[in-house]
Amino acid sequence: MPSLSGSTPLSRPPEIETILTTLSRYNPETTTVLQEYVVTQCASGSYDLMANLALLKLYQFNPELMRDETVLNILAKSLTVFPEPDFTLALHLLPASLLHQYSSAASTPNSTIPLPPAADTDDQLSNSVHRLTYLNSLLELAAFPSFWRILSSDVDEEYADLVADVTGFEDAIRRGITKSITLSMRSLRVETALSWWNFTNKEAVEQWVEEEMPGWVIEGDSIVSKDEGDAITAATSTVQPATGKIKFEQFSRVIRRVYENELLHH
Amino acid sequence: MDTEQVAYDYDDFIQKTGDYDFEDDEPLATDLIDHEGFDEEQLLQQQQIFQRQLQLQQQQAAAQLPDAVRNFILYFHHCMKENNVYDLHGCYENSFNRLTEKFYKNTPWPDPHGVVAPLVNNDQPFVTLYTELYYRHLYAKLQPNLEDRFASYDNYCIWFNYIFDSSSPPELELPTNWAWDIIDEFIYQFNSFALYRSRIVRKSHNEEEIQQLREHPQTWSTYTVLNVLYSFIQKSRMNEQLEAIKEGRDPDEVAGEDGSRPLYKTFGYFSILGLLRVHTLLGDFTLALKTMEGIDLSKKSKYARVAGAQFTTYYYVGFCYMMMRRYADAIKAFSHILLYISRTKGFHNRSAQYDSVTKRSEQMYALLAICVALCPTRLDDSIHTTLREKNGEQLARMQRGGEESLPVFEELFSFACPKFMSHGPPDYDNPANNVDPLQHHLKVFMMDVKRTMLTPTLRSYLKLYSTMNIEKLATFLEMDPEELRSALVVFKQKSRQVRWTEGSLLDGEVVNVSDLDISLEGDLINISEAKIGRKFGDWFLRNTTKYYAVQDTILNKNPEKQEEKEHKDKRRERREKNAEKKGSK
Repeated sequence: MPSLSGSTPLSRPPEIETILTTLSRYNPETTTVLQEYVVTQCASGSYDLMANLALLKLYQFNPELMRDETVLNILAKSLTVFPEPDFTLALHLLPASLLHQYSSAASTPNSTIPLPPAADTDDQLSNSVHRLTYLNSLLELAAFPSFWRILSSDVDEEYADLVADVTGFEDAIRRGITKSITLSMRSLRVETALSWWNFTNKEAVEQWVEEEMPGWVIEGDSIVSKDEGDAITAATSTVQPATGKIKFEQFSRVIRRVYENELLHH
Repeated sequence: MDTEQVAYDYDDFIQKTGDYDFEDDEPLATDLIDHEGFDEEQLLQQQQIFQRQLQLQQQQAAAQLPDAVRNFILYFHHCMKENNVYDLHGCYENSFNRLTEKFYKNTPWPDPHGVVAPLVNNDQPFVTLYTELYYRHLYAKLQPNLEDRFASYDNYCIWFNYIFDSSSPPELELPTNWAWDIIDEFIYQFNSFALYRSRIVRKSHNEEEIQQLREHPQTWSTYTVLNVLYSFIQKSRMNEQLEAIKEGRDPDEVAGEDGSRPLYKTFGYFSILGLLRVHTLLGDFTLALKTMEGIDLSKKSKYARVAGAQFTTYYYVGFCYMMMRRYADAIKAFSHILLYISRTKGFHNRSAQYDSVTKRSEQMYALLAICVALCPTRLDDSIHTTLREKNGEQLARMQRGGEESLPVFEELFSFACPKFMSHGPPDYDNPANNVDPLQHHLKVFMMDVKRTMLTPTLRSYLKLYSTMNIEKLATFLEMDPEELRSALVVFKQKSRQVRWTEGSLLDGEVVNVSDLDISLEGDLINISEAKIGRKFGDWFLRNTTKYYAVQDTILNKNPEKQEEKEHKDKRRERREKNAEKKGSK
């Protein structure tokens, strides 16, 4: 199950819970606690949306306390839970000036994949936010090969730097991709899987499928789902029965009307 | 009734003092000044005389009040002192609006401190309440300037301090809709101030005003507003009360002494709705919904009867859902309230808030159009018809997808969204650095929208087939097959949303919201479509009743009520006849 925005993650320590449920969430001094919590999340692989958003809100209210590094880490962390809208929600809480000059670069003809953001601005934080936003776009468009290509780009190492603090970033992204795959497919050719997961050889794919995808196996040159449960074929096209039930009470108005009609005409 | 007595007294007094000649005073005053030195006693006398002069001037000004208004103010005051909630409601709802229409359509009401205060013997709570109405009217009909805004803020501070006074909590009980209007107006003025401030910094170069703004950062600051709202909630222990109600316990057990007072309860509840609004204005949609977690919207509490509160709540809840990509939930919220509005149209026509209700409902139709374009769903028939009337063309363009749909999304979003504001004061020194929060939120929203541009085209092709090869579809769409694969994954993703079933507003489970479902097998796309057969039973019933109504019109029958009366009479006659017959048999 995807993480629902409001639910409490099991990994949340009690003092964070207290902060979030009381007015201390507005106390500027709690920024230190919440910042450290972000560091913990990055190191341990846990994730806590509400705490991160609370910290961004504190930054909104106390702009002088904002730490670039923390903001970028929060954004990087929210990439790992795609396709949840967490990244977008975080963007809404950032200072408006950061995205002001971001332009979703026009895609090349015949392609739906946008180009990386245009020339850099003067502000380092803005540039980083632009880059992370671009990565998010690629993930949202399921343009996974492009995503990996940009991330490991030699030309612009900035991308890799931005996510470096988040341990297990690549695997987390792979898991997200796996979710997309299991949701929408029943079989996928291995060579496509290689580019989607950014693996270099078939063995890595096999290992991943074995560990992360129960019910899926390698058959020939594809990975295949053995779970017949959510098979979708032409046969599963449903047509809801046309009649449905009609309660007797719904006839009441008509019957009353008929009765009155009778009275009137006799 | 007491008022007449009081009025008579005032009239009497004015009659008696009307003859008082100011000129008689002056020689006395100048006499004093002419003397070389003056002693304490004479100074005191002089002061007293001056006071009396001032008072009389005020009486004269009060005498210029139309009688109706003066009587109203006195009666109003009287109701408040007597804690007569019912009559207070009448004053507030009817008389105030009537008098506004008659006397103060485009001018402010009489000055609170100069005119009204002396009339009621400077009864501070009443004056504060009156001042609130005075400024609300000013904001609604006229253009408040900076000074007005500051003064209104100060008045709110006085009012809230008065309510929060723990040593002697007021016995006052306000009608619920008035309490809602106070909170609503408070937040509205807060919002208005932020917009006004950023406008000054951006456009006018009124140095004096900017200087005043710099010097008073606390006025209308976010912290103050949040403080007020949270204090109400805490004082009334509203969250605990709501939880108790949910669990079927008696809320008064957990309410505490303050929480059981109707005044605190009312304000506490409405403050939660106020927070929903403030958080949305600042862009924190998750927190906004989380704040509402104690409230069960499906239950009809007594606060649900305040129509204004219902509209505001559903608007903001729907908007937050939309920003969280929970379009199905947003659609449900908007449909619910729009249905309610259309059903109670008759009641609102005469209310003073008719304009704001209309504007709100137009905004909600616009948002509904956006949501339906992003997440095609069947709507209730009447809503669907009205939607097509109001936003039909825009909806069609959005549903076609592609580049041309984007400006429509932007236009509707900008029209319908709340007036976003940024938290703190703008950058006074570098006005160019201040970015409009609306543009920011719009941009982030449009990033989401742009990713769904391909969906309508995909849908149209997928509907035609039950299986399809990726290569083939790619040729139709003139796309690279691998990119198409990605696009199909996105399509499938978008059809899964979190939808609320029970519990707090943020909860929900992932469901399929699309009638079209796909599954990829290698290069083969399997498509299944869920068709909902037309429910013709309902359709026939509705149309049968409509047919009878048409029949009536053709046969030129009387309106329903008379008809019913005729029926009743006829039935009674018939019964009597039958009784006679039976009797005689």
